[in-house]
Amino acid sequence: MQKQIIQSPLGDKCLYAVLDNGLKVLVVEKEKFSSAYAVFGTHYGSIDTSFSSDGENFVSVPEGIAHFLEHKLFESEDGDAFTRFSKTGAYANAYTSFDRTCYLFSCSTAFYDNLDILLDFVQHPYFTAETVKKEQGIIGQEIKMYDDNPEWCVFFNVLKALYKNHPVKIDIAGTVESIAEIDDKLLYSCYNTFYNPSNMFVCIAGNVKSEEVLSFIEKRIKPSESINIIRTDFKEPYETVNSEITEKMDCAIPQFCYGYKLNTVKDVKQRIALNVALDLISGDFSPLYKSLTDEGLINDSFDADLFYSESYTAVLFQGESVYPKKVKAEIDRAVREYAVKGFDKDMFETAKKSAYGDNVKQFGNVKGISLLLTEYAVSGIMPFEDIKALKELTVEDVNEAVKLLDIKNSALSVIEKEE
Amino acid sequence: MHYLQTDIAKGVKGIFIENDRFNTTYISVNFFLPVLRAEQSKRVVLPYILTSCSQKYKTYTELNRALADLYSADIYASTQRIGNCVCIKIALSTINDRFALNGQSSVKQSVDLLMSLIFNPKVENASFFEENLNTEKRKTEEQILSEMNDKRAYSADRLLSEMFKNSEHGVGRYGSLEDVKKIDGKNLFDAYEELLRSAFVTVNVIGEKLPDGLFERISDCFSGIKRENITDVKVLSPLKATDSINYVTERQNVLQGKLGMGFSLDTKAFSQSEALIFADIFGGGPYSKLFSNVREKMSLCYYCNASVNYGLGYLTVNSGVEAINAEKAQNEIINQLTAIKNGDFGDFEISSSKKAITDNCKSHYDNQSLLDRWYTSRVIYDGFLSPNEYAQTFEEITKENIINIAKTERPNTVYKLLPQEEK
Repeated sequence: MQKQIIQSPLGDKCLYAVLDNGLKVLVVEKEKFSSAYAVFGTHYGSIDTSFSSDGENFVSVPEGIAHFLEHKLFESEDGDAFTRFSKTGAYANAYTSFDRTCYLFSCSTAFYDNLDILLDFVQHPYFTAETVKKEQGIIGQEIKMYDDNPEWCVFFNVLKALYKNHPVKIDIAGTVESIAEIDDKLLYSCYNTFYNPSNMFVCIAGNVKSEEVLSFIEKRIKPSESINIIRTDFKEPYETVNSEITEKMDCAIPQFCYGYKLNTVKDVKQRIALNVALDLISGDFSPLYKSLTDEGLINDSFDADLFYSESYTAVLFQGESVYPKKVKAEIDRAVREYAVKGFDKDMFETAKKSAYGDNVKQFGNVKGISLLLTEYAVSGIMPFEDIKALKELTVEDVNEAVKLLDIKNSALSVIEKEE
Repeated sequence: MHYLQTDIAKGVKGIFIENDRFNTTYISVNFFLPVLRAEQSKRVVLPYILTSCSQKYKTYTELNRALADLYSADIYASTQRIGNCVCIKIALSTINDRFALNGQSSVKQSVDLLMSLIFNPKVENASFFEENLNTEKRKTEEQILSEMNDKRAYSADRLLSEMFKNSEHGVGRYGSLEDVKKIDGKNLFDAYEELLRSAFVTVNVIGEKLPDGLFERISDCFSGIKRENITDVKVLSPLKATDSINYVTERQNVLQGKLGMGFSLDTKAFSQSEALIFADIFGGGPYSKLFSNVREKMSLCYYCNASVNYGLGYLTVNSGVEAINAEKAQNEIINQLTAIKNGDFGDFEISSSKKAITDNCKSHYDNQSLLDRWYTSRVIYDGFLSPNEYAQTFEEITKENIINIAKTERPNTVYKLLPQEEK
């Protein structure tokens, strides 16, 4: 087992361990807190639709299967995990995103009982043809609920316009048709590939003792040979598919999502630089935000995000607007200007202070810390590397980052009001 | 964790919750006024205009720059319902001085900023500026429209509007588009003055220390105001039981339908804890009747939750259903309520519910905004219980208590949002 204690610039310490079977364990002790927040996750999400263990025989699975598997894993032969958590009083949940599936609980008492349940149910899949069929009904309802949500639809539409081959453009839950193809055998096949400890992580923050937690986990993780997972290279071109995509829905106010497609950014410093650049371009103290608001083009729903994993990167501006094309034009104008002139040094210092403050805030609650640890585990960044990168960030780094935004390689998605 | 409650001025309470686990200091100023249909939209716009600029920070760009320079200090504005009142909240969260760089006092500077927003607004001749007001009005109008996009929130709000259609509480969360349009700089300033004059006010501070002189400064700010007709937050007007059920069906271009059911509940004879445990066993956690039967066993909906409002004496159930299952889900929800009344639940559900809610109460101590919400909402009840003290009240609740409170339900409204009928 590899093990080290990593000190944060903010004073926290993280135990970072990799067990012999490859499972990553990250723990931050917060002894003054009443509760603890624990995540047991796998580096497996909706984009993992095609994979191989030998690099030759690739298996393709139905869209939405990672999310389906998440739902099913709560069940076991003698009841479900929720019933077990009910006996301890913990709050338990799970979520699937593009590149990860996480099972979690938070509790104020009986931490080890809860951790035992979490480690146990995730390691013991139980699927039958009948239980799979029943879940198809429930997830079908969930898909329909999201299909009625313009905010969700405008987001996936922009991904469809940006990405030609990459499965990031597909809804995390799949479609009613794709999930109909899922059966128990497929679920076991995905489980046996991606729920191998070498592809998994446990992240915990709260009123716990890290060494004690590590030894508890070690005893409960099933021995296993690590597995080689080769994900299909979807050969995504640099170029977008469309520059515009519009859909009509029963919505009271139009929605937009404007995205720039970038080459995949893997360097943590560049990622931090892009985040700070986004704040300077469109944050609420930027000239762009003021002009868009004063002209009545955006409201408080407006937001900008760096959207990334190890195989895609995009910058997305999303919100509500009666004039989405004007918003797009203004964003393009600002991006073009900053790419040429660079950012004001004082404004950069403000944005950097603001980003530092966000780090301080995130380390003030156990949920925030656990989510950050999860991010470290999935992205492969060592704990606190991002905070250190921010400290060293210069205005020149941010000026370089804004040049990655290519106006010609962007797409605007709009959900218009149905007449 | 220590706790201090003090009278700052007439009808103004200061509450300091000393808690050294956080990296930030959280301060909220809460103004309680009775719910009034005609005033709702103004009261929604008011905290937003107050937190968009001030005499010192003339534009929101200046204000937001100052907040960013204070290490991303956050300002929150909201208007929510608590008991019979609306609560207009203006809050601030800022990093503690030990994290600030170069010896900067982020807490003191943040307190100065908060005071400037609440007590020195950007006004002229007793009127807010039209340019600032128009932006906030537009954003509120868009917020009203935006809620219609979120069918889950929209249908829950519509259910309440129908249940309280004959009372002030029937007004929508943001008022109405018409009322927003009627707001001008002058009548909004009048609403601001009324707020300072007659609202019951609480100032919650959650952090490792009480900022120097904070309560004294607030006291000074109120000293020049003639405080009168101060809102009595403890007056409650529960939903009355009716003889007939109000059935409402609305159709829109949606794929998934929504079913909302409202019931009056005679909460007066029961404690708030009893009402909470009842609603949780009926439709709260995964051990609840609605989750385990309507969602899991029968797969009738993706979500199906019950919640109770103790002060206003009602129970609501909100669910997402396919149109063809709406009738079936409605019947099954009633069946599960009947099962509770018949005592068809056991120690597992009761102890699971008590444990889950107790755990939730304890976890409040790790979250400043939850603690703030807790102490803001407790002012309408006698006995100002802490989350831990409240959790202790669950111990004595029995199965009979839950059955008895369930038996007081009377159906009030069935609201459905369904897809358009095929032509």
